[in-house]
Order: sequence, then structure tokens, then C-alpha cells
Amino acid sequence: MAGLPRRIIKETQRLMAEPVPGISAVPDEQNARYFHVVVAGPEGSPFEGGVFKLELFLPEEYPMSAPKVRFMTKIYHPNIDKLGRICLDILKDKWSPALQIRTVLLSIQALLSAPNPDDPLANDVAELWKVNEVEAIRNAREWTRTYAMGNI
Amino acid sequence: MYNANAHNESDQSVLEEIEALRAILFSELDVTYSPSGRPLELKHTLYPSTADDANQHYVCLTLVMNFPVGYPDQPPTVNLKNPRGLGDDFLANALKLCNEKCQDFSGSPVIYEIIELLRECLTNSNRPTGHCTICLFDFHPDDVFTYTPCYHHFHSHCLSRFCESMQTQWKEEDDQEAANNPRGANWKEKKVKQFTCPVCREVIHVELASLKLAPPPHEVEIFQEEFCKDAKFTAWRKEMDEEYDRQKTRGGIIDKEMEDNRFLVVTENTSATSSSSAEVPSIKTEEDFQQSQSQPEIKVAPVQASVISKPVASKSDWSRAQHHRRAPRGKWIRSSEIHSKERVVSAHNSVHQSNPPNRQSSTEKHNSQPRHRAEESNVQPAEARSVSAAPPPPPAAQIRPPPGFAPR
Repeated sequence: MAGLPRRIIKETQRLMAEPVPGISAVPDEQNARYFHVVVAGPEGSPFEGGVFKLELFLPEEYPMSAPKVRFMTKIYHPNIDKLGRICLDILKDKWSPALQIRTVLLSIQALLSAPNPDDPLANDVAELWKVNEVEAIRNAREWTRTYAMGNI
Repeated sequence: MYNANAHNESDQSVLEEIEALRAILFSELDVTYSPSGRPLELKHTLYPSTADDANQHYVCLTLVMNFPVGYPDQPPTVNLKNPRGLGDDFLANALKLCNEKCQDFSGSPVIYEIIELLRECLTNSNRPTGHCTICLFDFHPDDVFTYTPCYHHFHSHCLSRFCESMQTQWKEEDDQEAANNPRGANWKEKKVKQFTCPVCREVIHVELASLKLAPPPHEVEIFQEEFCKDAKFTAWRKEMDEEYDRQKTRGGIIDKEMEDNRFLVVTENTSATSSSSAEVPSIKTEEDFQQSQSQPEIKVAPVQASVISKPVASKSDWSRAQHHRRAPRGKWIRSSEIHSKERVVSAHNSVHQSNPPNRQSSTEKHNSQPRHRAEESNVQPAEARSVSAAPPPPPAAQIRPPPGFAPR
């Protein structure tokens, strides 16, 4: 693709050659700035066993501005809203060009392991997570089973 | 096995070795001792030997040595921490040399030998051998590079681009702040605007003017411009698409359009017709919606939400996740229950439109072609007026609300 910064090509090649465990990111055939992403629910989290589809887009200014990432699979998580938007500082004001697609996706995977209901994006989920964590985790498991497990 | 005497002897010898090092190195050594006073660990940051000209130190690392009981007869363990400007190959090689040295000097003091060895290695590669974390390319011998006080290396060109982009961002924030707050009443604490290291976020002081003079880095690596769409790629994509389809069938994929349209308002007709549409209140933003709540001609039709129990005014642009304003109170209508003849107004969809479409022209558009998205027109055709006043159709019962979002 003409005009694609070499850094993006380099990142893409490495993502394909040395994928991060539990994460696959593949560029779109038509648009090399758009990535199809699958993140496996981390072990020990209520999302374990789930396979979550995400979309990732590298804006024109990347790597000076953060990639845009969104969950496509429904997920019950206090920092992810109904539209799949993610509340994560490195995607906003804490972005740094030293971060990469792989580190962003790793951070998202880590967010699944460590939900933070004190900085919520989905208010109702966060509320339940704080008031009744057991039920919230049960809901997250149920959602994972209902929506994110393809092979049942 | 060592007896107590031998222990004491070895403890004594390592203590003496460290004392001697302090004298030779003219610097404080970071040593951890056991409760009995035996040295356990030594940490020392090493730089290349450049005649003590610190401006010529482009790389560094921290040596960490652990001393087992019985050192020096038992070899110490060597670790290399916090490497700066040094690639993996350098570290692997240096560590190998250190371990060989430890084996060679088994039974004799080795700390000074290790320090000398590492200094020599650092001096020999006293220029960054890793890659610039901004462009991900290695440092070519002709590249102009710079490094921060925290010893993180960048091509000068790359760091200047980063700083310029930060400045642009700050300016945008300031402009936004000024727009939101035209009278300049600023009770908010001003964010401190300082450049920070892209790697470790330490505050750095940058002479941007001189950095900007640097040429772009050499593209030292030659690789295929296009990444290879090989069998693995095809297989992955196929697998992903299949997974997507499976999830879609199970209702597991977020329907952005439906979520976007979830927050719809049906307005009851008053005197409004296509021609007098200017009197129809238009709802373009959340604020409009809240205002419209008090106006009698607006009726919010209650319909059961299939997935969400709580109204959320969604933004069409999901990248705007930072705006988690509290949603206004309202009731739900499902977009699927509003067929094209109903008059619907999306509460949010025009938020990002800088120029809302002219009402008359949108009416013409509506009349001339079928409406696909409800919010394209907020003008009701005459024949549809009665529909919106009628009670909404029953919600589709087959959609099972997931736990947690059951209607309250």
C-alpha cells in the first residue's frame, strides 16, 4: 500500500511472524491500517474460554496518536461499554509512540484480567461489580459463554 | 561442604574484596548484606570508559551480582539489568562472557574482573545498538540520534516529530478549553505541559529547534514492502471470519447501528407538516433531548429494551469513549420497531455533523428515496402522522435478555 509508514509494515510483519500468545491480529486485505483482532479471555478471569473479536484502526498520525480499538464481541466488563469502546488510559492521554499494536492488545488482555470498576465506562456493570462482585463475575461468565464461545 | 570456619573465611574475603572495590572505583557500591553481615548482592551501574566524559556515555547497564554461600569458591550469579541503548544480542553475548569469566576465576575474587569486562564491552559498542522505539528501526552509523537523561535513545528526527505532535495536541486542548470556556474563567487546574520520555515518561527537556534540523533516519533494513499474504495469513483470516459468523449467529456481535439508534424519540404530531417543518423541534444532541422533555409535543414512546435496561445516549463515533457523560433519563424504543413510515428523531446522530442538513432539502430527499436510516430526516410525511401516536408494537419476545441487563 502506497504511503504506508514502514513502522506499520514492520509491526505487521512481526505480529504475523511472532504472534503474542492468546492474541492474533491480522491486517485487512483491502486496508493495511485496519486489523482484525482476536483476543482469548485470560486464564483465571471470568472471560476464560471466550474468544473476543476486536477491530483496530491505525489513524493517519499513528504512531504519534493512539490506535483506535473496539470490542466487536459483546462483553460484560466495567471498562467496556455497549458499543465495545474501551476505557484504557494508553488509548487516550497516556499514549506514547513507544507503544505498539502488540503492547496495546496485551494491555487490553490485561484489562480483562483486572477490571477496574472505579474508572467505569459501563456504569451499570461497574456498579454491580462494586456492590456484588460475585454476581458481576457470574454475569461476565454467562456473557462469555453465551456470546464469546464459538464452538459449543 | 563448608564448615563454619570456612564460611567465616569466605565471608571475610568477600568483605575485603568489596572494600577494595570501593577504593578502586571511587564510588559508592550498592551492596545488600545478610543479617550476619555477609554481602548478598551487589548492584553497580556501568558506563563506557570515555575518560570520564559523561557526555560521551551513550549506553549503560546495571550489573547485579549475587554471592552464594562459599563465594569465591562458588561462582556468583551475574545479571544485567536496565540496559540502555543495548540490543538483545549485546546482552546475551556480554552475559555469556561474564559467566565464562566467573568459571575461570572460581576460587578467586572476580567482581572487579566482571566490572572491567563489562566496561570494555560497553566501550566497544558505545552507540545504541537497539532500535529507536518511535520508528522501530536500528541506528545506522550515520544517523543523528539523541538520548534522554534516562538513557533512552531516539533518532533526533523521530523525537522531534513526537514533540511536535505533543505541541499540536496541547494546542488543540487549549483551543477546546478556550471554546468551552470563552470568558476564560478557568477554575480547572492547568495540566502541566512538559515533554516526557516516550519510553519511561520521565520529564525531559528538549531543544526542539536543534532536533528538528536532524535528517530522517536511514532505512537500514531492507524488507518486503508488502507483507506476505501467505497460507498462514489466509488461514487466520478464514478462521477469524468463521468465528465472527458463529458469534453473529449467536447474537454475540455488537450491532453498532442498533446500539446507535437505541435512543430514539418518537414525536407526536401537532401542527407540523412537511411544509411547516421549521416548527418541529429538532433533537440533535443530548441537551436538546433533555430540553425537549419539557415540551408537550414530544412524546417518548416506552418500549422494552432487549439488551439494556438503562438508557445510554450512544455516540456514533466509538472513538469518543472518553466522553462518559451521564445519559439523560428517558425510555427506550427499539430501532427495529420503528418502521420507515414513523417519524423518528435520533437524539445523537447529528452530534458530529458540523453542518446539519437543511430541513427542506432533507424532506425532498426523504420524499424522493426510501429512508434507510431513521435519522436521515426528522420530518414526518403527512401519511405517517397517525402511526406515532399509536401505542408501539409489542417487543420481540424471542430475544433473551442476558443476565445483568434484564429490564428492571
